[in-house]
Amino acid sequence: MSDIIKKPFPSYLDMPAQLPSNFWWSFRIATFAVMLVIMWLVATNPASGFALFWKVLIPSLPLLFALAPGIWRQICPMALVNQIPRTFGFSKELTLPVRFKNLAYFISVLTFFFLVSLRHVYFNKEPAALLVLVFGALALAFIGGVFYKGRSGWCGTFCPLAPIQKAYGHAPVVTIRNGYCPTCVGCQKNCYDFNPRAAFLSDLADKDPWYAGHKKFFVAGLPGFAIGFFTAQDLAQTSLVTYYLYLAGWIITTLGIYMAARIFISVTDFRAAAISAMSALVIFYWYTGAGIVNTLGGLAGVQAPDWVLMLPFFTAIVVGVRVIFLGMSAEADFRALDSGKAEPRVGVKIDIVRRNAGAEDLVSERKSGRSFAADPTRTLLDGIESAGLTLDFGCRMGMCGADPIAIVEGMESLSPPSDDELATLRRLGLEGRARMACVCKATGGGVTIDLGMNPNDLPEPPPPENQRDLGVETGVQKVVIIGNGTAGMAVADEVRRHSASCKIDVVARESHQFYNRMAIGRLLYGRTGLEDLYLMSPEWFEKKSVDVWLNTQAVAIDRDGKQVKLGTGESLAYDKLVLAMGSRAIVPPAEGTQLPGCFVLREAADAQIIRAWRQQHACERAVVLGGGVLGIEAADALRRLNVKTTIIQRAERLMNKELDEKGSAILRKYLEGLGIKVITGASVAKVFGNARVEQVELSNGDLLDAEIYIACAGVKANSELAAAAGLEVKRGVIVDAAMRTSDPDIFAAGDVAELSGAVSGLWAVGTAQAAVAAATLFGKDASYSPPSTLVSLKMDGIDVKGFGSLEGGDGIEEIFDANEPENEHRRLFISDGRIVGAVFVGPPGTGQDVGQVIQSRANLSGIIERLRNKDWAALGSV
Amino acid sequence: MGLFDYSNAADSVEPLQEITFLADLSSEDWARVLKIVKSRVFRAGDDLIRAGDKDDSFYILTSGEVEVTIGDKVLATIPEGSVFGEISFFDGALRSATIRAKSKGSAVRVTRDDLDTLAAWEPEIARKMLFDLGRVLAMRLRWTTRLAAS
Ligand SMILES: Cc1cc2nc3c(=O)[nH]c(=O)nc-3n(C[C@H](O)[C@H](O)[C@H](O)COP(=O)(O)OP(=O)(O)OC[C@H]3O[C@@H](n4cnc5c(N)ncnc54)[C@H](O)[C@@H]3O)c2cc1C
Ligand code: SF4
Ligand code: FES
Repeated sequence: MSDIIKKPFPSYLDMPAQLPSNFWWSFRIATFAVMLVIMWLVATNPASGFALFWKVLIPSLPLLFALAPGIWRQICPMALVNQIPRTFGFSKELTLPVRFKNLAYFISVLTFFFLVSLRHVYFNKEPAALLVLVFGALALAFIGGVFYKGRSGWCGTFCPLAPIQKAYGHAPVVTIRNGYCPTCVGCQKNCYDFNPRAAFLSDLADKDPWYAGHKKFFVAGLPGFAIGFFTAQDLAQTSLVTYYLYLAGWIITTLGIYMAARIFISVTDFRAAAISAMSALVIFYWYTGAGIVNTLGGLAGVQAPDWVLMLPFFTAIVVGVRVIFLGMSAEADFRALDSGKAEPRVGVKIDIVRRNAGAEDLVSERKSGRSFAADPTRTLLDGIESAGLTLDFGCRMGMCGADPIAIVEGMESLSPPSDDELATLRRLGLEGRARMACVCKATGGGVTIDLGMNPNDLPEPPPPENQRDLGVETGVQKVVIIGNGTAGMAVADEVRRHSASCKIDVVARESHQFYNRMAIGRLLYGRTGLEDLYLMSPEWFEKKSVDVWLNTQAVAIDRDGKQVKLGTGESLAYDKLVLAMGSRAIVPPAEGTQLPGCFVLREAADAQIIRAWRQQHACERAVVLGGGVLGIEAADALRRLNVKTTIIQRAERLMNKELDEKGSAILRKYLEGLGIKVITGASVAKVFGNARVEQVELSNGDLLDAEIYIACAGVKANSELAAAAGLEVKRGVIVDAAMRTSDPDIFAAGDVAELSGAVSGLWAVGTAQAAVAAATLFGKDASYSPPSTLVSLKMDGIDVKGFGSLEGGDGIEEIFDANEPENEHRRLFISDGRIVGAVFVGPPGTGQDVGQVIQSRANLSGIIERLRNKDWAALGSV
Repeated sequence: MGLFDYSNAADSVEPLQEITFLADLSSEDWARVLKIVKSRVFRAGDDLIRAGDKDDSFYILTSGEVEVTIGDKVLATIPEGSVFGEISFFDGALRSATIRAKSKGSAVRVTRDDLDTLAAWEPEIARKMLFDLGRVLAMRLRWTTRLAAS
């Protein structure tokens, strides 16, 4: 019963079939055959026939009824004949009149007492009588089946064995599913075959005292009847009247005990009934146990030892006690339901859900005490979120440094870090102590992390010995950096690694310490403040003695005097200067874009202003210009802020630089599913409004209502300062592969730099260029080699990855699955075993593996065959 | 009590007490759902939900047993396979009770964002899910009404 929800009273419809129906049919026919054989024996060799029937077959039934009544309900020969008309479709299927439904039990109880009592008179000794009894019952069962529907013609109604089955089996130790009713036709009241655990309880609790009374009468009289039956004098020595008076006396005695118990110790009806029924069971085996054993022994030709003779009796005690306990728990459930207190239950098909949910080993999180599954296909960040915990993240690529987590235990059970992640950890000074949650996966158990702990508080590895100080060696003692974005701060960090003595000043126009620019969308929709975006702890600045001039602009560079002039009137002298001013958002020229309500999203302050604006003016609609990564992420942030947003994309599809048509189409459909509108092949012509933005006119003439307009249409390097200082500048500050500008003492890195032929505008590019600039300025030979330029959309609920060139060509193999699902799209371009181009778009998880492979630049020769067979999971094994 | 609700039988009167949530979702459908929603494992004694937490999610208990507690009082036990927590899923209000694990186990947690995502990928399944959650709420509402009336 493991694949159903645990209902307290499952009906047979809730139970799975434990065994195939063929099995039961064979079993039924076999039982029927055994019965015929015994009847044949009764007719031809009464001594052994009677012994088998009365000493073995019949006395075994009560225990079977208590243990697994469902077995008998499946194989009973009377049930078999009763169900023949139904099975072969010739039953008239009449409904048993309600009067009979209520009375049937009473009739069957009387029949039971009467027929059993006649054993001493006829059936124990007259072969003919027994044959008439058995075949008569079969005939009646069959006739019942011909006329009445379901099992109401016999099994659940008139069958004299039905009351005893219900009483002994009121709380089955083992439940076997009803195998006769393909559909339930509701043929009888409180059907035992429908709901075995509830039938007897419901009978006793019935509102009709007459109906409930029959049941009580039966169970209460049963022990007495058993004692009377087994202790009655031989009929040869007494009269029939005395015999029946004697039986009645016993029945009345236990009936009296039952009533007294109900009155004086106020035991519930159900418990009194359960105890009564089980006493009858035990009494029965007290008298018949030895007979069963002896008869079987006689058949086998062995003499059973004394203790074995008692075995049936003791078994009956154990089973009886067990059934009473099961009954009591059923009663408690029943009462809870009856009083209306049991809350209605809602469940799922547990096996199916569980099969798809998986996972065994755990990762523990110390602060919350929660844990999540160690799953080699999911990152720790996924796990943390699945545990209902939050962790701020940024790039989800191990590059930005937003989500280091302290590994308290089990470092060895984590996936090895990629170069990107190592570089990030190094920058954060956390090698060997922490991991970036967004890329790290637990491959085994025994991992403990601690989200409450600053990874910096974990013991630090000893500093490398004989550290040289390049600053002293080369005489570079003053380094000034303009800009505290990723490029600027990575330079600061690298410079400090090369020289402990060098003075480092960072000039920063914004008023915040280094933060995660890629995640500013969260400031728009989330309630969290900027603190969560900071990428370096305050101690870092102190420990590394890096002086950051927040809220301070560099306004001029005096190359001759080797000074940077600040907007405050101060100036900073430098031996070497690094330009890391980044870039700013472009607002494509259109009438009206100076109106309040027009924004860009480049800095933390931008996000904060938009959020305030949305609240101040209760804005409901927005237009985002630009269908690239930034535009889509901005639109998603607005959506989460409950603003209806339309994306205007000049190209014919979203993310046209990174994705192919199908990839774009899936993305578009997903966004539209979230309620974000997308208009392609259009641009913004004009922005209107009285005092602020109210409408946006598109190039195609369409008018859109909007109170917010955000331009995400590209960036422009902040290179004016450099140009004014006479450095060579085109789109950005021109550098060579060593990050030198046209002035040997000035370097540039990040968005502000322009290196011929290299991709720019990406986080990882800035970090990588910074390392080169820091090395070159100390006179080392270094040359920039581009990091992976994987573009991934940082949006929950969808994976979008684009990389490299999506064009085949000489020596480039393209792999894609023509039969892929409509919702998923994967295309790989491989040359010399390495990925040179890729699009992966689909539900979460679709592109995780490919992203990591691209970042690690792993060689795929080993799995190329699997990939050709579209076994994308192979990417996870690299 | 609906124990003998012979589905198509004439004499069944009581409403169903038990609902199978998303009964007609196939195994493949569930696989798709579970790509988007997250499964969470816990140990005995862990809190799945804490009173006072703001958390717009509901849970499907895939294994183990949890109990509903307020302070030190245990109000009820929730068995394997149950769906719970749907009220905060809808109204986003603070959790009123703590749900603590009695044994180790696992649960699928569905947040409102997850439902949005699901609606974008699998609109039909999301519609069913929402409808079934409504059914759950309705049934529990009927139950409280009846409790109040009795
Ligand atoms: C919303 C958003 C999402 C992004 N997502 C991704 C992504 O997913 N992947 C990716 O690779 N890249 C992404 N990027 C781009 C990435 O953030 C940039 O490439 C990266 O920040 C560039 O770093 P940088 O240090 O060169 O410049 P910046 O980060 O721009 O930092 C330059 C700093 O210098 C300051 N400054 C400028 N002029 C002066 C001056 N005269 N005096 C003093 N200070 C000055 C600026 O105010 C700024 O703080 C995203 C950018 C944004 C805005
Ligand atoms: S009530 Fe339903 S389950 Fe019970 S015997 Fe009739 S048809 Fe079968
Ligand atoms: S390093 Fe993990 S989110 Fe950026």
